[in-house]
Order: sequence, then C-alpha cells, then structure tokens
Amino acid sequence: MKRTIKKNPAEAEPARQLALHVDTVIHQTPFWASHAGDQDDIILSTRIRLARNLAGIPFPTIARREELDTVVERIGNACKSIRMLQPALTVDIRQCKTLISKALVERRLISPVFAESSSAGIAVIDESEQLSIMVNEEDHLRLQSIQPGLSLQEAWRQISRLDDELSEQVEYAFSDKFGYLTACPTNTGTGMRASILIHLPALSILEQVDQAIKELAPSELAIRGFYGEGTDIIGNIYQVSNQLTLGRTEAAIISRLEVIAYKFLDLERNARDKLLHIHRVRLEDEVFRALGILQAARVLSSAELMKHLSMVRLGNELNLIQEIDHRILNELMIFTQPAHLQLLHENITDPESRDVLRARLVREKLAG
Amino acid sequence: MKSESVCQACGINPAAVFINTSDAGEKMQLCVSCAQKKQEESTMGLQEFFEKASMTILGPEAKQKPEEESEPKACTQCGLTLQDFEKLGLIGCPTCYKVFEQELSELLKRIHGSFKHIGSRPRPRRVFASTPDIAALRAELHQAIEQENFERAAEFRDLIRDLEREQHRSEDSNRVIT
Repeated sequence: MKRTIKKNPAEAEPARQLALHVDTVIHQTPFWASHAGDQDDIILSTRIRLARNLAGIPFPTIARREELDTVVERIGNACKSIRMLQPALTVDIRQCKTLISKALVERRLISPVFAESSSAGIAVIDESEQLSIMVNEEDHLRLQSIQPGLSLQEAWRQISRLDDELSEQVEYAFSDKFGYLTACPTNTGTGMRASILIHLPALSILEQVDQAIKELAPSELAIRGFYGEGTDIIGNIYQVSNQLTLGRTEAAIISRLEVIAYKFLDLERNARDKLLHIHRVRLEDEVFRALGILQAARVLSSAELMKHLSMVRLGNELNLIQEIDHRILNELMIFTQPAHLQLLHENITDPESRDVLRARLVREKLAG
Repeated sequence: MKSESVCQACGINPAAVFINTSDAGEKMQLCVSCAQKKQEESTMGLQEFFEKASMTILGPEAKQKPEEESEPKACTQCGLTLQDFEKLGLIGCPTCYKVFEQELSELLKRIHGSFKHIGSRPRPRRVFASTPDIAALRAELHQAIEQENFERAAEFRDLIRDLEREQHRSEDSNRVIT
C-alpha cells in the first residue's frame, strides 16, 4: 500500500499544555495532505466551517475596539481548556508578519480577508491543522475542520464536537426561530458551509467540465476556485459547497453535498475510463508531456506547476507512470506556493528567483 | 398568496438582490446564487458589489410605499438602520434580529427559501443533526393547518418532502457506492 493511515493526532490524549510555534506549522504537512481518505483519487479534501457569534456583542464589522478585545479574550481563554486544541498555535493577526499570514492563507487555515485585518483578532490552529478557528473575521467565530478525501461525516463529527465544547464555555447568539445569528444573512441558521475540493482532469481534457457543473450543481450549490470565494480555478481543482444555511438540517446539507459529490465522482471516473480505452494515446501524451516538463523545467510559475501537476496526478491514479506517493504530490502543491517558498528559503526575494527555486524543488521530488 | 419575483438569470429561485447592470441605472433582480456568480465574474470587490447591489429587505412592493416622515427604525443595541444594512450588506448585532424580525424573515425567506431554523442548537439542547426530527416538523405542519396559516404550512410540507427525499437519496447512494 502506498498510503498509510496514522492515528488521528487531534484525538491523542492526554492534553498537553504546550503552545505550538508557527515555524513548526509552516514546515509540516497538514493532516489532510498526508493521510489517506475515501475517494482521494479524485477528492482532495473536505472542509466544514461554522459561523458563530457571542450573545450580546455586536458583530465584528461594527463592534468597538474593547468589544473585539473582549471576544478575543473570552474565546482565547475557552480554547485553552479544550483538549482537541492542545497543543495549538495561536496567532495574533495584527502582529503577525505578512508572509506568515499569507502562508496560513495558502494552507487554507485563514481567509485572505482575515490575513489583512488590522483589528483585534486571533487564529487558533490545532497541531494537525484539522481544526482551526478565526476570531473576529466577519463573525466572532469561524470554526473549521479540514479532512482528507471525501469525509463530510468525519468533518462534521469533529467540528460539531469543537462547537459543543466552545458552547459550554461561551454563550452563542442563537434564536429559536433563526438559529445561529450571523453577520451576513447568507449564513444565518446553521452557519454551516460544507465543501469539497474535487480534481476533474479527465472531464477537463474531454472539455466536459462546464456541462457537468451545469447538470450536477443545482443553484443551491456554489462552484469556486482553489482558495474559495472569488478565486480562480487552478489545476482543474474545483471547490463545491452549499449556499443555503437556513431551513435545512446540517445532515440534510451534508447529504445533499455528498450525493452531488458521488455524481461528480461517477462522471470523472467515466471520463477517465473513456480516455483510457478510447483516447489512450492522447491521454498518455498529456500525462507524459506534463511529467517531462516538471522533471526538466528550470523556471516554473505557480500556475504552470498546478496545470502539469494535475496531469501527473491523473497519470499516477491511472497507473500510467511509475507510482508517486500521493503525499509527495500534495506536498508539492503546498510547499511551492509563493509565501511558503519565501518563508522556507530565506534568500528568495523576487518572483523570478521564486520560479527558479520552485522548478528545482519539483525536479528533485519528481526525479525520473 | 403574495406573488414573488423570480430571478432573471436562472428563472428558478426567488429574487433576493437588485443589481445595477449599467451606469444608466438598469436593474436586474437576481437570486443570491446568481448574484454571487455575477459578483465573481465582475472585477468589483465584495464591498463595492454590496454597495451597488442593495439587498431589498422590504421587497419591491414595500419599496413603493411613501416614505414615512418619522425617524427610521434603528436597532436598540447597535443603532443599525435598514439603510445601514443595505449599504453594508451585513447585520450589526444579535439584537438586530429581534428589532428587524419581520424584515429579516422576509429577506431570509428570499435567500434560503425558509426562515425557520431546524438544525442543531447550542448545548445543552443540541439535537444531533443526523436524525432530523420529521415527526416534530409534521406536528408543526398540522398546527399551522389548524391555525389556517397556509403559507407556513406549505413551507413545512416542502421541508418534510425535501428531508424525506434526501434520506432516500443518501440511502440509495450508500447502497450503490459502498
């Protein structure tokens, strides 16, 4: 077996009263990228986030400075006694270096908007990066769980447990009628956004992605780019998420997304079969050209890497090329992003030297 | 029954947002999902988008009523008015949900097709969400019918139908895939 399943560190006991250092996090491979998950030949990861606010305090956009401080203090204290978050990295977003906050965005642990926030806010991230919390983004609390492959149930189990533990220590803004009260009315109710990152290279080669999206994604689902709202589709990776949060249970939201995920999986698998059996030469050409470029290029932009990595991943899943560990492909995706390159390799200052370094790292990892 | 305007882009969902489509002031009525797509297509930032797209809280009918002379209603906790909300695109505080209960109910109905939360609750009353309580929803449906509140009854009827359909679907998908 090329993938090994390790014990889930978020459930390791007992609690250790340790603070993590940001360097540790930036250097490590996150749980979702290093562990096997259901359907992970096509679905990279699953994420569920919950929007929550504290009772009696205005939402962050209009809250006064001392109110924001109160929120940070209350949540910060609550987190200290939650075992799932031990040890954790706590980042003060105002004092955080720009490169660090950018790297946290690249890891999808915080949002781009939060990274640039200049008001009181913290991010709390558990050791394995499965759980993270943004305090004072658009809402007082944004809790998220990221899991490998298609694992909506596990993501829900974890985030719901974290939510329960927090709600024992702080009082949430909640109404019987409207549910969890949030700053934006598009989140009111469950406050839940569930999403999957799905890799659709075969549909893309056959130019059937748009059609698939049109057929499968009803208007209540959103299709976005790799980093979420307002971002581009890169490397044939699509984010599919629910849009509606009120008048349906969390289970209903999850099961609807799961049903759609399986339909996408079926279409992509059929497209892969079609390529293998009908257009094999064309498929092999795409895969080996991509591998050739990655093994030989001397200058490689982020976008070019993602494009070719998509084809190499496809070739790997279809056993067309010599087996490459999943983890290596995921790591290439994470550690070659701009802020990571700059943080982990000190003398990189301009985009060109970044592209040269990226090409070198990729050549080393994929040496033929 | 009050007729609802339908999204001009997809023609399916109820319209929730008005967007200026040109500088000449032409407007489109869109549902939230199409509006978000439009926003993603456009080069505008989210803030600018929300400034130009006014969330029509009161709906087009109410908009045509003559403006009242008195001070606009403001939230007793944070002071937010409906005009502030239209500008900001965000609600001010938990109390706003009480002060503007009527207006927000209408807006939430337009966005989500419902204004009644049926998901989980904070501890100690949390109901695990994998067992949606269809029996409780049926009881609410019957109560609404008895009270002759047919709009509400229709909402519960649809909700129960969706939940049952989804339960069947997820059972089906489990059978096929695993």
